[in-house]
Amino acid sequence: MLRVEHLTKVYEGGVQALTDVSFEVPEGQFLAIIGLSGSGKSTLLRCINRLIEPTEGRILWDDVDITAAPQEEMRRIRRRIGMVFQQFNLVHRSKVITNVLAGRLGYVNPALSLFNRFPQADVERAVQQLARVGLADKAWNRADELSGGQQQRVGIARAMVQQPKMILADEPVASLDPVLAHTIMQYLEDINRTDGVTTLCSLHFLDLVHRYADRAIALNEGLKVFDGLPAEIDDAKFKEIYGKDAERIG
Amino acid sequence: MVFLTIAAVVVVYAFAFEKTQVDLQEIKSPVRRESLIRIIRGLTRPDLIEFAEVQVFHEAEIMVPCPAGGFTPAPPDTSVAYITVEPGCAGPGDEVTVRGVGFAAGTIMPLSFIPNAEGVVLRRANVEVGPDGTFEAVIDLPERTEDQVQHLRVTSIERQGGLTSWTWSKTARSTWDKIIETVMLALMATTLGVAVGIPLSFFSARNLMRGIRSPLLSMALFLVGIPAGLIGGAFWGRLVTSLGEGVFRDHPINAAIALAAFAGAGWLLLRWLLATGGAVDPSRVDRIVRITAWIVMVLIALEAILLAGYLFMEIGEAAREPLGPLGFLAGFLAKMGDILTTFFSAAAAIFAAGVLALGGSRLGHALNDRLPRPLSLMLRYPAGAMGVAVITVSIGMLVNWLYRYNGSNQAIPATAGAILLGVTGGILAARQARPLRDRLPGSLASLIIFLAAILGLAGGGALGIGLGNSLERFIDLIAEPGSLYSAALLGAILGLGLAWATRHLDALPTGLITYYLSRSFFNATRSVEPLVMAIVFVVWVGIGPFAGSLALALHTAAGLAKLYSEQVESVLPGPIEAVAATGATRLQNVIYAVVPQIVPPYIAFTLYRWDINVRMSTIIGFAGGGGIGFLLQQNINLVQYRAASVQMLAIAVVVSSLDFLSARIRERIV
Repeated sequence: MLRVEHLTKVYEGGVQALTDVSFEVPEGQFLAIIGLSGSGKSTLLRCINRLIEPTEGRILWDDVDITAAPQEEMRRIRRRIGMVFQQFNLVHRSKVITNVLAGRLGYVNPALSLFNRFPQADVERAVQQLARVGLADKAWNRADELSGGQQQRVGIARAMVQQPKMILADEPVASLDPVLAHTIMQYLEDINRTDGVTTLCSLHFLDLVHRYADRAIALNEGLKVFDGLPAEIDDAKFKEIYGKDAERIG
Repeated sequence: MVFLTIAAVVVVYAFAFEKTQVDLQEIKSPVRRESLIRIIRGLTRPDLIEFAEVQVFHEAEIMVPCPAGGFTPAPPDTSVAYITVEPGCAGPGDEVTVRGVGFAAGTIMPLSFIPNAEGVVLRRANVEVGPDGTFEAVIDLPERTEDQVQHLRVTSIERQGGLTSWTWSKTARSTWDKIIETVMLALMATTLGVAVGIPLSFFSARNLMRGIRSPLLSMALFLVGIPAGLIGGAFWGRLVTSLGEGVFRDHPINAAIALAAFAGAGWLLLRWLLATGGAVDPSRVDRIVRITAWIVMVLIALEAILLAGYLFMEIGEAAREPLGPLGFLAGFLAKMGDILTTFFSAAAAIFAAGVLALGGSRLGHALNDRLPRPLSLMLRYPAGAMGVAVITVSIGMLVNWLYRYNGSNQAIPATAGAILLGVTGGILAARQARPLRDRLPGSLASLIIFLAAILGLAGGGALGIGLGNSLERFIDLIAEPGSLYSAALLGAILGLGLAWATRHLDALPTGLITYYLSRSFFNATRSVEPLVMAIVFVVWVGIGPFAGSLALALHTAAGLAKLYSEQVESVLPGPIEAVAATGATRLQNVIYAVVPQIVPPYIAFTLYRWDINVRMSTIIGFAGGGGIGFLLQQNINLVQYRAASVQMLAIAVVVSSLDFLSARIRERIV
């Protein structure tokens, strides 16, 4: 159970990215986070694994206070949280398999990993996850030789090789075409249903939200303006989330 | 506007012309032109090859004084170059005419009088051979009278054998030696510079350093760990060396056995440590055991290195002779052994300092996290005092060593301390006043901050000067060198102040501090040309390529650190974020997300620097740094332009071929 309590983030210079955001996510839920660009979705996700330090508020995950955890413990917490990014964030010059193995860095002996030596079990896990996203044959290619959709699949494999209990997906399909978007979302859905991984996914398109998410919360300029089922987002709620002038497409 | 700009430009250049003393009169001077032509002629005729030469004597008989019946010299052999003298006899001091036939046109030869005394050669003149191979000279005979036939001699230098009997000239040979030395110099300098520059560049990358923050406890224990480690390590190092000296030096068998034992034990320990490293959640006992095991393993490794050093020396010395021309390999081994054993204590000290410093930092982190807040807040004060005292005492020791203070000239360190204290006080006061800015109107807040800063400065200054004065009296009670005690006291007070000022801050920006320190260091180092640095190194390690390579290495490290760090600062932040999100440690993050992105530019910069170093190493000899520069400078000073041109040729060939080579390497790799 993930519990976010009164999360506030103010950047240097006074920009209020998040204001008093609170919600709960039961284990195994697929939560969609929607809102305009700049409404605080990325900030929210990054506060959960403390890539960004919250200004105020608490985040509790299975009763462990993430916001107060010291460095050593953050390592243990982060390795159970996988993250998928809009820009894929692969290391271009490294091989695909190395990129996926980077997911095990939180588990392996730091000294060995300096020399790119991972335990055999980890290498097998990596190959297995690549097979699951259909890229086993590309394992030894350089990451920048892959297309966008393939790179995002590698990103998912990297997140999965961590054996995570939670996945944070920051607009994972925003850079992909509609067909690929569905493919990627299906992988995430599969992971959520089969492995019971709690998934928080920020999305732009409501059709994806309706299709894949169990629940949705919406942010508008750092404030939470909606918390409920995707089906409950009618036109009125839509205007509240996206602004008076927003128009629904499709 | 344009007119003004043009006018300004004209004025500036007029001034520049004046200051750079552009003078066309000198160019027109015929004397200078002649020298120029001579130099150019010399430079275009490099002294590369020489032919085996012999001196050939061409002699003619003469009698001084004339005997009774006159004297007719023996007829010369006209099949070779010969000389004749007329008349065949004369009195001392008389003039005679010497003619030569069949000599090389344009040569100048000495014409000497050879009496019969052993080895006496009396030079009378230099004769110049005309274009037809003949010469005619009139000389005075010396005051040497003898009853027997004496000789007049002309000495010509002729090639032995034909055109194919050439050999490399002496200049060519020494240039070759020196050019090899130059290239090796550049290689050593670049390697050393790269090795130092790479880690330095990571510390100088703002995006990496910005996020590193440490609590005061951690920083203080880090600082305390350094001298503790240095002293402890040096002590242990010296203890081990003196214990082992008798047993291992000059006893290669003992050394080899011990080395095998230590290496074996260390290897097993290492394997165990690496194998059990991935445990998901080690207990506290596990952790302590592991840390102890690591430390023991490293001690064993250090001991093994010392033993290896002894062994290398023995083997190297023994193998030098039998290896013949490859003897330098044995020499290298022996030298490595020498370095290992000599610097063992120093290496142990530095290593121990590193271990204790990092261990202290970890301990500080752990204490900060686990202790209850009031206790950790209290601990910060003594920790801060100790930590800053270490810094000030070190500075004090450096100042003492440089300026050699005794008790009586306390004034300057006391004043320096006062200034330091005052500035710190001012900054702290200004920081404390900052929250006021939000609540009061801007100008009032600024005034308060300004006053607070002045007060802090004044207060700090007074305290410092007061301390300095009272400590002068203290000196009588405390033994020499008292200045270290005052430095320690100063440091303690500053530390307390720091602890108080940062009591609300969880962590200090140690990353940024390191960033600024390392940037300042290499910016300062970069601004001193290696040629100038070589002067200092020459004094330290003596004239020769070692000094040159050290000077170049230092400049290389600084230059590369800047270039490298700019690359690190421009990497994509996305992969770094992604790797951090997996729970990787900071070091793992750098290795997996940063390093792959910077490999091509790093290689490019290294090759670029290598090119520069080759060029610099050719002239670093001008300051005594070895290499071909010394030879070149010497020949220029001796006005031996033909020899100088050989060196210039060599430099041009080497630089251009290495340039070409590195361009090709760059194509292949980058």
